[in-house]
Amino acid sequence: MKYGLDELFPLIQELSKKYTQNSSTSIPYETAQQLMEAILYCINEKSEENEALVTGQMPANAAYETGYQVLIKKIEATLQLYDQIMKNYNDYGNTAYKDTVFHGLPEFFRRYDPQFCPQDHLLTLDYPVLVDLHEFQGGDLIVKYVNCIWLEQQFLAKLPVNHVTKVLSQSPQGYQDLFVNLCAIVVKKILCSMLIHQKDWEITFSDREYRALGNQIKELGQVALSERLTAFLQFTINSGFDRNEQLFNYLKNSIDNMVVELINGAEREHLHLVV
Amino acid sequence: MNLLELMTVEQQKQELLRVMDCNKVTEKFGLTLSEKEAKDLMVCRKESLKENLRIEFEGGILPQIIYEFCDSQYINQRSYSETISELQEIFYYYKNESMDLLTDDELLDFMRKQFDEVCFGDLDYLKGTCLERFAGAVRAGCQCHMQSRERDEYTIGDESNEYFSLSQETRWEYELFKIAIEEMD
Repeated sequence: MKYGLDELFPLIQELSKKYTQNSSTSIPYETAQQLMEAILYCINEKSEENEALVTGQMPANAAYETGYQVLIKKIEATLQLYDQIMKNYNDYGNTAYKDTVFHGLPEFFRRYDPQFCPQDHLLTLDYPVLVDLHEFQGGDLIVKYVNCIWLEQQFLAKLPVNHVTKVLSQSPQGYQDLFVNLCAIVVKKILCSMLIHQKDWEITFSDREYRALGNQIKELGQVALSERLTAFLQFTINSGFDRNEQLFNYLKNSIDNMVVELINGAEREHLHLVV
Repeated sequence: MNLLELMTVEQQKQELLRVMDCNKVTEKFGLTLSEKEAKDLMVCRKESLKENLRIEFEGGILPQIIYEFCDSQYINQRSYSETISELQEIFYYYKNESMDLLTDDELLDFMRKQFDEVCFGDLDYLKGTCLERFAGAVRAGCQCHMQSRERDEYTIGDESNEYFSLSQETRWEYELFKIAIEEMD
């Protein structure tokens, strides 16, 4: 919904008074721009209740107030989800994970400014999640990010801790100081174990098993391999994770990259460096 | 004319009335602004805001500057409009230089005190020494007397000028001057 400057001007006037606590009659251009972005950010907050906004019937100040309240509720819900995550939190020794989730996110909740700068998410979010969040910013980005971390923690928590730690430690590229997604490494191991018909997923493969894996990958090709791995993932989630569709859709995002790595690894006969 | 333009025109009319209203107080000190001078001041205000990359939404600082300085012994009718215009420019410049860490009242309070007691009405001196050092001190984390509540209704009689702790100028001392005069006699 587009609003003209004549509707937004009184809003920014009001917000600048609050920002300066009525103690300054002027503000720098940068501050005015920041406040304008804050107003537009709140107006753009989508909600099922905001039908009038979607149809263009809501005046700008009401749209702003509604969007602001929606944003506050989202952040509060995300904080509760974060508290839930921290009950059984485990970063498995990965530095980026710890810095972002354990140290970084509490600072976000402490310092986030939904009124005057909701568009600033404050953190660099170094630990990579499996979905592309670049189109989001501000509070919304953190909401999505925390949701991803919640899904990851749910997935990893159901697996034996020493298994996960060993799989990560034996990951050829290492994992503790790298900006790698932990779930992607573990899922790759599980799905490759299933590809070579292992009954329980093994931490280490023998040379014979790597050869079998390589043959299987070459035989399937890219499309079929992707379908097979997706089916295995679906089976894993259905049998071990209560058919959690959200979790399946999240982990499925790792399959495209996985397929490329496995095919390259099989062609160059260095699967031991890939999985 | 769209709604925004109408709002702006109306706002400018109100601001002009506010500035002209100041004459009711300032005429006691022999200072008045004609309508042309008031309009010129508002044009200067617009240019100064643009130059300093600032935006004012309503009201504006002009009436406050007028009320703050109208009883200064260093302002007379002949230079009134020009002085107010320069003070306005200095004000916006130092709001930026102090990174908006000072409220309008705090900055104006400092400017007025230094204008009278240290600069004796010299605006170049005010801009080039007192305010420059003060803004630097504020950026470094120093709190002015008003911020730390040293200047309130309980300490009105306090004569210490906070600029003296920042000053780097060599000043003549009145007591030494008095002794020298007495010795000559």
